[in-house]
Amino acid sequence: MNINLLAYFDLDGSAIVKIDSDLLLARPPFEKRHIIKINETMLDKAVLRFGFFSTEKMFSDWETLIQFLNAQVAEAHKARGVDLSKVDVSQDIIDLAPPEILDQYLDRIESELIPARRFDHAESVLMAMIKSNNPDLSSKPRRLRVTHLMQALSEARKSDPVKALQSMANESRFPNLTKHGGLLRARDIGKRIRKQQSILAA
Amino acid sequence: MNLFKIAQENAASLEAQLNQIMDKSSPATKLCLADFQNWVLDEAGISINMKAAVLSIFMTTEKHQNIHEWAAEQAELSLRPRQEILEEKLGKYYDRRLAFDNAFEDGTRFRYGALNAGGVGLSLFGDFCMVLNRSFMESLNDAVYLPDDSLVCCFNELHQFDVEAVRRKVCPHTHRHYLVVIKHATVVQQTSREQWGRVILADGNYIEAIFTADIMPDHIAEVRVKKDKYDELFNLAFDDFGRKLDEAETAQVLHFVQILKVTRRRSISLEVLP
Repeated sequence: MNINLLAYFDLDGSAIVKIDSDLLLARPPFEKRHIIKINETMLDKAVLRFGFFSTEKMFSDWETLIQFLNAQVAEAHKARGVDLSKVDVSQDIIDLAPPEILDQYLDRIESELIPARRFDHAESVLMAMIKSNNPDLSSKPRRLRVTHLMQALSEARKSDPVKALQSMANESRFPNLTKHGGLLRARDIGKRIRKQQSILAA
Repeated sequence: MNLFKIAQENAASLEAQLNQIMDKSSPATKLCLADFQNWVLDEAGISINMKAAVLSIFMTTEKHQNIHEWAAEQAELSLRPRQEILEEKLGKYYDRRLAFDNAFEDGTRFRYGALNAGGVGLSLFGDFCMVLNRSFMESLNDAVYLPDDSLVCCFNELHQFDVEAVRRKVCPHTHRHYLVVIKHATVVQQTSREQWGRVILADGNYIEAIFTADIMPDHIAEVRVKKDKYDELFNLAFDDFGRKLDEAETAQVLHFVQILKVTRRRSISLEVLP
């Protein structure tokens, strides 16, 4: 397959490509629903109005193209003094999330992550909620829900001994906390919550 | 040439065109168009669609740059000529872009937006729609409007700049409601009032605003974003807890967080629209 890159936006990796006779706008994370057909006038506007870089580069597959776009994004941010490999905004997201998003996150932990045994992922989100100063997390029903999900998580972990051993042996199960040395403190908070059944214990 | 002066000179022609439309209309249609005209004056402001990264950088640096100002900054940082940077960015589009901007006094200071009376604007390439506030609108001295994108309606089929098209079409700030009625007189009669915002501005159909005034975050009335984009960004942030995001994904989440922080700190409403 020949992918002709005609324009890209260096700060977010969006790209306009030509495959055969089709002009496509592709946006990260580049899943099928993020790739849409556009016309020539839209390509013109992307460059003339929306700051896309005009270019002409051939790629043999999507993987190589995405690698190129990611490199451009990293480079553009580096030029602005931001090292994307060191960016960690996960706690900020929890601190800033409105109540309906917090509830969606809790729903996903309950209905997707725990049943799929993605315990580390679930635990990272819950720990960020426990540490958060988001006032919407201090409502009683939401506090209780976080506590209950922590308990459910702990029980699910116990019932999956292999996974539990793997996790205990692997500090990277809390990538965001480990990055900032908060892992031990978070474990301590978690223990206290489980003991006192309330996130107010933290 | 002074684009703002040309627009003033075209005011009489716009008035004549509107009168002609009104003269041909039935009493009921006249009423509807007059209502529409007043609604435009009351409700329509200027919006600029931006990518999350651009909005986040504008809000945190308090500096809104057009392409010429961006190139000047890059030239200063890289010690390369400004023209070379612009040519590199615009490629084959360089001549077209410069043909318009260089044709007018202060053309390199032009900022481009769209007349907006509701909705997320031109969201295909700029998910976040920044709506400028009423006091900014009222303070505008130099602003003109065109019935479509200037890089489309002021160029011929060979992409050559057509100054006569500018003279015929450009509208001064004081007459923006005239231009809207002239453009949409037929459609607006068949559209309910609730849909008028979409008549004025939808992807691919808009009235372009051009002005030279500097924009600051204080001028933002609100920021609008489509719900599916807003949810997508929060979902990406959720994924960040469970897997390592790549650079493009990280950048999206980072800029979204900045937008959330600054809108909250400055009490700017972030409207999530269906």
